[in-house]
Amino acid sequence: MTNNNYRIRQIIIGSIIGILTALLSGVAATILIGQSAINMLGGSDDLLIAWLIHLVLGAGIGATYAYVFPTRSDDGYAQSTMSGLVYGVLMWVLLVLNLIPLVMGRGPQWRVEEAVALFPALVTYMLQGVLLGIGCRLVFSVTNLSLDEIEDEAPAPIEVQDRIVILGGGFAGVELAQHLEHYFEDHPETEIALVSNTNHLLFTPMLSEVTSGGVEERHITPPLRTFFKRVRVMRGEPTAVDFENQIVRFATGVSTEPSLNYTHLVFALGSVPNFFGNKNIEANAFVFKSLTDAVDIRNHIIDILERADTEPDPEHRRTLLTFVVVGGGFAGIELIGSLNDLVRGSLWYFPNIDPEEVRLILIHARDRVLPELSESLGRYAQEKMEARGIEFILNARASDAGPDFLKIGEDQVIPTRTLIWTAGNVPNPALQLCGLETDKRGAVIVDEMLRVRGHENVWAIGDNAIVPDVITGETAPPTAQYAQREGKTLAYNIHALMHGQPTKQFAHRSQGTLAVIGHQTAVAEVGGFKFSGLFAWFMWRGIYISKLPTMEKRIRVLLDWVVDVFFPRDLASLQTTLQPQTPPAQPTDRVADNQPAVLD
Amino acid sequence: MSTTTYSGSDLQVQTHFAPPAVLRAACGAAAGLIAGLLYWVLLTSQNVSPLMSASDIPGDLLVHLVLSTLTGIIFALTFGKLVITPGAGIMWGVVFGLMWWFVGPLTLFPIFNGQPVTWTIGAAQDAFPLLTGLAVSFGAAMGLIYLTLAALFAGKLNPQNLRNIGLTFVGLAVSGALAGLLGGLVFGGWMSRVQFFPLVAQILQTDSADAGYALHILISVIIGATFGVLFRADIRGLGTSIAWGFAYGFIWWILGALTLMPVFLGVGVQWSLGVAQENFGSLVGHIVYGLILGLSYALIVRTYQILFVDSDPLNREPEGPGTRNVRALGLGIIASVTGGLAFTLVMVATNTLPSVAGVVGGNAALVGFVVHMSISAIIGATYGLLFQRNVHTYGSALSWGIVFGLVWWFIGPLTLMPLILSGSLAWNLDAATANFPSLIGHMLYGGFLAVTFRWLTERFDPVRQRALPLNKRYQPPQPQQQTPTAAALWTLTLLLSLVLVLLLGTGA
Repeated sequence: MTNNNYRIRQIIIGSIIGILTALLSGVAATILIGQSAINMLGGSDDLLIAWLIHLVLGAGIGATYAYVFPTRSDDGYAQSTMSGLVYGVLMWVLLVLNLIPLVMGRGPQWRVEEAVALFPALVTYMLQGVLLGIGCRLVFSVTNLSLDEIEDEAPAPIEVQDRIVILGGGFAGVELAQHLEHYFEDHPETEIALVSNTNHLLFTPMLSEVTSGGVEERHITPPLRTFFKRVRVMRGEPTAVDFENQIVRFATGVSTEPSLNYTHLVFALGSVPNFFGNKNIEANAFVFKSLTDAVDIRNHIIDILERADTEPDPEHRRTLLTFVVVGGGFAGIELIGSLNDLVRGSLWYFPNIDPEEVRLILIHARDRVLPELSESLGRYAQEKMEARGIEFILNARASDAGPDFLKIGEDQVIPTRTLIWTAGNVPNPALQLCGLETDKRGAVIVDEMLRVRGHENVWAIGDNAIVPDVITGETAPPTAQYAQREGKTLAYNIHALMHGQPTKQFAHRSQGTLAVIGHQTAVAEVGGFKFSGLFAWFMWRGIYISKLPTMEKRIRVLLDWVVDVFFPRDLASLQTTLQPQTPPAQPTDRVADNQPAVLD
Repeated sequence: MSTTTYSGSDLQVQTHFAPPAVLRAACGAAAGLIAGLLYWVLLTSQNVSPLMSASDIPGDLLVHLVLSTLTGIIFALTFGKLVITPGAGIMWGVVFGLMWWFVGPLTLFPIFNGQPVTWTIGAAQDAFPLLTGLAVSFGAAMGLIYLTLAALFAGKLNPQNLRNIGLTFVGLAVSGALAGLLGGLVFGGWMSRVQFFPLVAQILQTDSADAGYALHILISVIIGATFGVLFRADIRGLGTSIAWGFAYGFIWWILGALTLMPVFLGVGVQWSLGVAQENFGSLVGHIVYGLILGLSYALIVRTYQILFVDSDPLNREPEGPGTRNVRALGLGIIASVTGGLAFTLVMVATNTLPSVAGVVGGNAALVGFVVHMSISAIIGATYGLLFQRNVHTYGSALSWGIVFGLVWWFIGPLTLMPLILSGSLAWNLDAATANFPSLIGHMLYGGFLAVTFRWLTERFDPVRQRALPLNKRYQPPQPQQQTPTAAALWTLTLLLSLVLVLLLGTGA
C-alpha cells in the first residue's frame, strides 16, 4: 500500500468514526443534560442545524485525528483513549471556544466565565475524544491501517526509469545536483548520478588561504557524499559517450570500465590550466587549481624557506627566495597576496634570511591586474601590494622556464625555484573525447537553454561551456557565481522538459566581484559600488563564509580564522623527505627549443 | 513473559514485564481495594462521602469498596500492561482517577443519587474534593500498589533484582536530589516573599522562618530524590522531562500542600475547593518547582552519561548533534511564526499587546507585537531543540506542543512577565483568572508551533529517509522511543491546567 493510499483510507475511515462518535456523544449529552447540550455543541438555537454542525465537525475531528494520531498495532487501547481525550480537549478549545462562536458572529469565548459556561461541551468533547480514540484503534487494527503497516514495510525496490548523469563535481555540477534533488524529491524513479574526479567539492575562493595556512585544507572541501540525500556519487572521469545509445563510460580505477545509460547528460567538467603548448613551463611550474596544488605549493614554500635559512651562497639564496606567479587575474592576485603574507610573516623564525633578499613577483600580460574589476580597484590593488613588497611586471609574457629560472620575453631572465602558473585555463580536454562541437578553446557551445547544439538531451554548464547570457548578450564569465546560476537554471529546464513544461533561458546579472589582496585587505565591486581595504575584507569573509557549503565547514573555517587572529601561522611542512639539491642551471641553454607562451 | 531493558544509564533498569490477565486482575483488585480504603479514610475525615450521598449509611463503605475493587480490576485490565515502571504506575493511576472523576462523581453518582446530571462547573466544583482524592490517594496510590503487587507475583522483586535496583537507585536519588535542591531554591524565593516559612516551621513546633526554610529545602531534596527514583525509566529527553516534572509538581501540591502539611499542622486533610483556592500560589510554585526539577534532573543525568558512560561509535549518528541541533533551532524559530501569529489574535482581542511592550519599557501595540514575536521565536527555538526527537507523528508533536505552551503559561504571564514588569510574581488566583485568555493563547501557540515544526521537519523523518533508494543502510536520527506513558502525561498536564483553572477561577 502506498503512503498516500494509506493516508486517504485512514482519513475516510476516521471521518466516518468521527460522525458516529459525535452522534453517540451527542445522544449521551442529550439524555444526561438535555437538548441544550446540542445547541451548545452546534452553536445554534435551531436544534436541527446544531445537530448538523455537530456531526459535520465530528467528521472533521475524526479525519484529522486519524491523520495526526496514526496508531501502531502495538499501541494499546489506553494510549488511543488518552490521545483521543487530549484531542477532544484541544478541539473544544479550537472549535467551541473559537471557531463556532466566530462563525456564528460572536467573538471568541476566551474569558473564564465564557469558558465556564461551555464546560458541559468540554465534558462532551472529552467523551467524544475517548470514543474516537477507541474506535480508530479498533477499526485500524482490523483493517490493517496501523502506522507500522507502512513503517515496517521494507521499502519497495525502486526501478530506475530515468537517469540524469552529471559529469563533474565542481560548483556547476553540485549546484545542479542539489536542485535536481529538490525538483525530483517525489520521483525516486528518476536517478541523479554525479561523476566527479574528486570526492569533494573544492571551495576555490578560499584556496589561497590554504596555501598561506590561514585555513586547513580539509575545511574547504565538503565531501560530495555528505551533500546529498539521494544523488548517486561516483568517482571517475568520462572516457567516451555513445550519444546514439545514450551511454556514458568512465574510468574509475576498478577492474571493468563502468557505464551508465542516461536520459539526460550534463557536461560540467570545468577547466584545466592552459600552458599554450609550452612544455618547459608546464614541466617546471606549479599550477593552482586543486587542493593538492595548494598543499604542494605551501609545502614547497616552507621547504624553500628552510633551505634558504641554511644556504651559504648568497646568489643561490636569492634564487631560492624569489617567488614568481604568472597571471594577474583573481587566482594569481589572491595567491601572491597570501604568499606574501606567509613568506614575510614567517621571516621572524628564519633569522638567517635577510628580508631584502625576498622577492615576490607577479607577471601579467596586460597593463593592469584584476581585469574583471574596474580600473581604479585594479590600480588600488597593485599599489597596495607594491607597498607590501610585491613586484609587478606588466605587459610581459613568460616564454620559457627551467627548474631555477623563468624567462620573460626574449631576454629577461628571473632566477627562481618557485614558478606558479595561473595565467590561463582551457576547458577540460575530456570533452574532446566525446566529439562535441566546441569553439577554438575547446568549450562546448550551448544555446540559451544550456542545451548542447545538435543534441536534445545533452547539456553543458560551467567553465567547459560557452554560455550565452540573455541579459548581457555576452558569454557568461567562467566564475563560480555564474556556474551555480547555470546549474540552477539547468535543473529547472531538465525538470520542466521531463514534465512537459516550458523551459527558460539562462539569464543572470552579476551580484558582485570580490578579491582578497593580502592581510586584512580586499577589493570589491558589489551592485555598482566599489569597496576596498578592511571593510571590503570583512565583506569578502562574510559573503564567502555564508557561501561555503555545510554548516560544519563554516564553523571550522570560522574557528581557523579566529585561531589565526591570536596565534602565529603554522609553519609545519607536510613534506617529510628532503628534496634533492639541483645545481643552478644556465638559463640560456634552455630557451631555444621553446615557443613563447601566449597569455590570454 | 518478556523482559526488556532500557539502557542509557550506568546501570540498566529492568522494567518491562507483562503478567497474564488473571494475575493483573487480581493485583488490580487488591490495589483498588487498598487504595479505595485509603481514599475513604482521607475523604470521610473531611465529612465528604466518596459516593456523594447525602446520608451517612454504613452500607456506603461496602459499596465504595466493591466499586473500588471493580475499578481496580478495570484499571489493571486496561492500563495494567502499561504500568511497567513506578512513574507509569503513578501517571496512569492519576489519569485513571481523573477519568473516573468524570465518569463517577460527575455522571454516575448523581444518577444513582437521583439527581440530574449537568456537567456544569457548579457540579464539578461540588465534586472538587473527590477530584483531588481520586487523583492522588486513589489513582496514584492504586498505580503504585498495583505495580508492587504485580512485580512481586511476577517474581521481579527477588533479592538479586532488589539489590541491583537498590544500587541503581542511589545514583538516581542523588541526581534527583540535586535537581530538587535547585527547584527548591527557586520555589523558596516565592515562599519567602509571602512569608510562608513560619507556617512551614510550625510542623517543627516553631515559628522560625529559618527553620521553615531548612525544612522546605529538605523536603525539596527528598521530593527530587523520589522523582529520580520513580521516573528514571520514563524520562527520555530534556523536553519530555519538563512535562514529567510538571505532573510531579502538581501531584505534590495535592500530596503536600493539601494533604500532608495540614495533617502535620493538626488540621486534617484539606481537599475542599476553598482551601485549594487559598493555595493557588502554592500550586503554581509546585509546578514551577516541578519544571525546574524535571529539566535539571534530565540535564544532570545527560551530563553524567556524557562524562562517564561509554559512547557507541558503531551506532553514531551520521549527522552530528551540531547539524541536527542547529537545524532544530532554526526550524523552531520559523515554526514559531504561525504560533506567534495565532497567539497575536488572542492578544489583539484582549488588548494585551501594550502590556507586553512594557517588557522593554514601551506601551505601543506594535512594540508589543515585536516583543511578543521575539519571545515566541525564542520559545519556538527551545521547542525545536527540546522536542526534536518527539515529533515522529503530528499527534505527538501537537501534544507536546500544547504541553509546552501550557508550561510557558505558568512561566510567562504568571512568573517572568510580572517579575519583569513589577518585580513580583503573579502566583495568585486573580492573576490566573485574568490570564485565562492567555492560557488559551498559549495552547493555540503550542499547537500551531508544533504542527508547523512537524511539517518543516517532515523531510527529515526517519521513515521518509529510509524510503530513499540510496539510504538503504543509512540510519537517520531515530525518534526518541515514546514511553507508553506519554499519552497519560499529555492528558494530565492538559486536563489539569485547563480544568483546574476553570474550577478554581470561578470561585475567586
